[in-house]
Amino acid sequence: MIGIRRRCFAWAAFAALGAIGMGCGGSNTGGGGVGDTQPPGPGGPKLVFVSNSNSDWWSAVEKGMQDGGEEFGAEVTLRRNDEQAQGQINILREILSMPDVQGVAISVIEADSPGVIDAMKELQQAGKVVITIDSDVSPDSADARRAYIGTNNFDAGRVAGKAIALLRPEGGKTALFVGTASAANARAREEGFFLGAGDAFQKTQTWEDGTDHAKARQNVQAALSKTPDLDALVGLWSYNATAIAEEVANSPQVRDRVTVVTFDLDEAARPHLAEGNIDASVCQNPYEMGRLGVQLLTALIAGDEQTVAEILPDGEIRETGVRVIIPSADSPAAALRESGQEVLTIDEMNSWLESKGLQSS
Amino acid sequence: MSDDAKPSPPPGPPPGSPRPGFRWGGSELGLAVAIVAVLGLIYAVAPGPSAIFDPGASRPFFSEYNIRSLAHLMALFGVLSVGVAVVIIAGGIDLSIGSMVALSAVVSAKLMTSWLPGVGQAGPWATGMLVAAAVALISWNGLNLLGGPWARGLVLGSIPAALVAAGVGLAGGPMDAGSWVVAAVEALVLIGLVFGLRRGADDRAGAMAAALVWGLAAGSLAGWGTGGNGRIATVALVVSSSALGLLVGLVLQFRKAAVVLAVLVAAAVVWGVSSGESTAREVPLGIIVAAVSLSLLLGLAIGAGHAFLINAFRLPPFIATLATLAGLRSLAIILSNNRSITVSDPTFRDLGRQYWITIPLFLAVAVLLSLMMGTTVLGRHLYALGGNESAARLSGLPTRRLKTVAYAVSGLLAALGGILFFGRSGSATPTMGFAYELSAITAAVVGGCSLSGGVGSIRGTVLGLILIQIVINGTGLVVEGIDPSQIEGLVLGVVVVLAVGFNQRFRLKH
Repeated sequence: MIGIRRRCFAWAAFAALGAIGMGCGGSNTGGGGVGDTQPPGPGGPKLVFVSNSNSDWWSAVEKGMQDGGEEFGAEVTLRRNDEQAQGQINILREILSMPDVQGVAISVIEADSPGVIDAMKELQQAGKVVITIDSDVSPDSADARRAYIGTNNFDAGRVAGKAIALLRPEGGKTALFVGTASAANARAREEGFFLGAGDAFQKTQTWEDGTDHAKARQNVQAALSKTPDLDALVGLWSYNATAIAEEVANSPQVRDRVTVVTFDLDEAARPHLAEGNIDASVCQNPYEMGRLGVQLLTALIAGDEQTVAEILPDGEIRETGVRVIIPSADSPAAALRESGQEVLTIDEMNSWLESKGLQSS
Repeated sequence: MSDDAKPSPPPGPPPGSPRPGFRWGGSELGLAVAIVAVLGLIYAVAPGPSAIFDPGASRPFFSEYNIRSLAHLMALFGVLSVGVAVVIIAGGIDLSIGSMVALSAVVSAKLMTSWLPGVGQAGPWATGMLVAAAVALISWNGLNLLGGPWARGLVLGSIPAALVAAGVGLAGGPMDAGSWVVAAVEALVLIGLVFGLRRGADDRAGAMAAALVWGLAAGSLAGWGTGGNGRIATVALVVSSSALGLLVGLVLQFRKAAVVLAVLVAAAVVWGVSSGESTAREVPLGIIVAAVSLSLLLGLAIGAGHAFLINAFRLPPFIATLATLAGLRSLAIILSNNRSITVSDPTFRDLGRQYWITIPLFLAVAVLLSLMMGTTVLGRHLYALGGNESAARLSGLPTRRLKTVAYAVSGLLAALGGILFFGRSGSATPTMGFAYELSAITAAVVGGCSLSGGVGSIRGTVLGLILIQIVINGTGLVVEGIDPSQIEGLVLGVVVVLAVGFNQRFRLKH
C-alpha cells in the first residue's frame, strides 16, 4: 500500500513539475498548443460569450466576435457549453468570480431555466453587462438581460414554410427533425414553418435525436421507413441538414420525390446544397451576431448611448435576419426575393463565407 | 470452470467439459426465439402497406431499405458490443467505450486535418512533446526488453537528464534569481522522484519515472530549446508511434509479432507524413491509413492502460474505467477545442457510411472474436479468468496478461467504432458516443453475458444486439400517436428485464 501511495504521489508531483518546466521553458510562441480563443490584443473591456452547445455553427459566431474585438477594441473569449443547463450555470458562476470581465453575452439553453436566469441576475448585480445572443430568455425574465441580438426564430420558420410552399405547391406529408423538440428555437421554428407553409402540409411527426448525430441519421431512415409516402423533410437544427441530405442522396428514388428544407449551413452541408440534396436552407447570420454582440457590449460598457440606440432601434431587441440559400438561381424558392427576403445561391453564399474566412453559417 | 483449477491446464478444452463459447447454449436459442417473436409482433401490429419502397413488401419495417439501414446500425453498435463482451466474459467491465469513441473520432480527425499534414511545420510545443514521447517510449521498451541493467542505466542517467531539463527551462526564461531557484528545485525534485520511487517500490518503478525525465529533457532540448523543428518532429512522430506499437505488442506478449506491429505502424505513419497537403474535402490515402492506424493503436494502448491500472494499482475495473470515462472525454474536448471537426473525404467516410463495408467489417470482427473465445486456448483462459480469478491464478494462468488482452481488445474495438461513427456522420464532435457504453453493455448482458464474468459468448452478444436494435427500431416504426423517442427507453427496459430474467431462471434450473 505504501508503495502505491508513494507512487501516486510521485506521479502527481511529476505531472506538476512537467507543467512548471514547460512554463519556465519560455512558452512565448505556443505553436502546437491548444486553447480557447486568443484575445486579439491587450486593452479594451474583457467580454465573454457563452454558447449553448459546441456545434460548428459557433465557429462563425467566434469569427464575428474576433473581427468585432479588433474593430471595436475588446478582448473576447467564447466559452463553449456542453448542451446542459447545469454547464451554463457553472460557466456563469465562474465568470462571477472574474472581476476583470465586464460584459457577458449568453445563448440561453432553456428559455426559462431558473438556475441560468438567477446566475445572469447575479452577474448584473455584480456590475457586469449581460445580453443574450442567438437564444433569448422567456419574456417573463426579460430583466435578466439588457438586450437580445439574434434571429426571430418564428419568422425564420415562416420563411422556411414559404420556401417549401414555393418548392412544393401541392403540399404533402412532412417530417421534422431536431435535437430537442422542447427547445425554444425549435418550437418557434416549427410553429412558424407550418404557418408559412399553409394547410397543404401535414405534420407526421417530429423526430428528436438529443444532438446525437448518429441518432439524427437513424431518425431520417426511420421516418422514411415509417411513412413511405413522405413528401417533405425539414431539419430544424443545423446538423439535421447533413443527416437528411446524406440519407436522401443514398437513395435516388427517394431524392426524386421529397423536398428538403433545412436551417443554417454547416460546413458538411455546403456540398449537399450545391449538389441539390437540400432544396433550400434558411440561414441565420451568426457572424453578424458575434460582431454586433461585441459592438453592443463595448458601447453599453462605455455608456455610448448613440451606438446603443443605433444597434437597438426598439431599445431591447435586435434581429439579425435570415437568408435563404438555394442550389441555383432557377429554384422556385428564388421567388421569395419578391417579398423582400434576401435569397442567395450556394455559389454566392460560398464566396461570402470565403470573404469572411468562414466555414459555416 | 472447475476444470481450469488444475495446476497445469491442458492447452485445449479439457475432455468431457462443454466448450463455453462454441456450443449453442440454451440462452442463445431463447434469444433467437425472442427475435422471431418480436419480428412476428411487429409484422402483426405494424400499420399500413408500403407501396413505394418495394411493392412486394407489405410492411415498412420489412422493406429492404429499413432492413439495410437497421443492419448497418447493428454493425456500428456491434463493434462496440462484442469488444465489451470480451471484457465482461473475462470478469471485468469497460465503461470508457463512449468516451473512447469520441476520443478516437477526434484524434483521427485532428490527425487527418492538421497533425499529420502539419507536422513538417511543427512549433516548439509539438516538437518537444513528440520528442519527449519518443524518448520515454523507447526507454520503456528498453525496460521491457533489456530489464535490470537498462533500468539502472536509466535511473543513474536521470541525474544529468534532470539537470538538462531544468537548464533548458532556465535558459529560455528571464534568468533572474527566481528562475534559478525554480530550476534548482525542479532538478532536485525530478531526481528525488526517480530515486524515491526506486527505494519505495522497485527498480522498475524508478526506471519508468527516469524514462519520463529523460523524455522531458530531450523534449525540452529539441522543442523549447530549438524553437521548433519540423524535421525533428516528423522523425519523432514516426519513432514514437512505432515505439508505442512495440510497447503495446510487448505488453500483450506478441513476441515477434510486436516487431511486425511496430514496423507496420511506422510504415503507415511514414506514408502519412509523406502524403503532402490535406483538406477536409480531400484527404490523401496515406494520411487516412496513418490516421486510422494511429487511432486504433491509441485505442489498443488505452485499453492496455486500463489493464495496467487494474493490475498495478489494484483498482477495481469499474473505478479504472470510470476514471477514463470522464478523463478521455475531457481529453477529446481539449484536443478538439470543444468544437466539431468536419472531414468529408469520401474514401475515409465510406468506412462508416457504406453498409457494404461496415457490415462485413463487423462480421469479420465478430467471427474472429467468436473463434478466439470459443476455440483457442486464450479464449478458454479468458473464461477461466472470468469464472474464478483466484483459481485461474493458482492454476498458473497468466491473469495479468489475460486482462491486458481483454481490455486491449475492447479499447481497440471502441476506437474502431469511433472511426466508423465518425465516417458515418462526417464530423467528429467531443460529445459523440455519449452513453454508448450502456448500449454496448446492455447488448452483452441481454446476450447472456454475466456481469460476474465467466459466462456468455460473442454469438449471444450479437443476438442480444439484434434483439435490442429490432425492438428500438420497431417501436419507432410501429407506435403511432406518441413520439417513439419517448417510449423507446421504456420498451428497451422491459426487454432487458425479460431477457435477463428468463436467462437467469433458465440457468438456475440447469
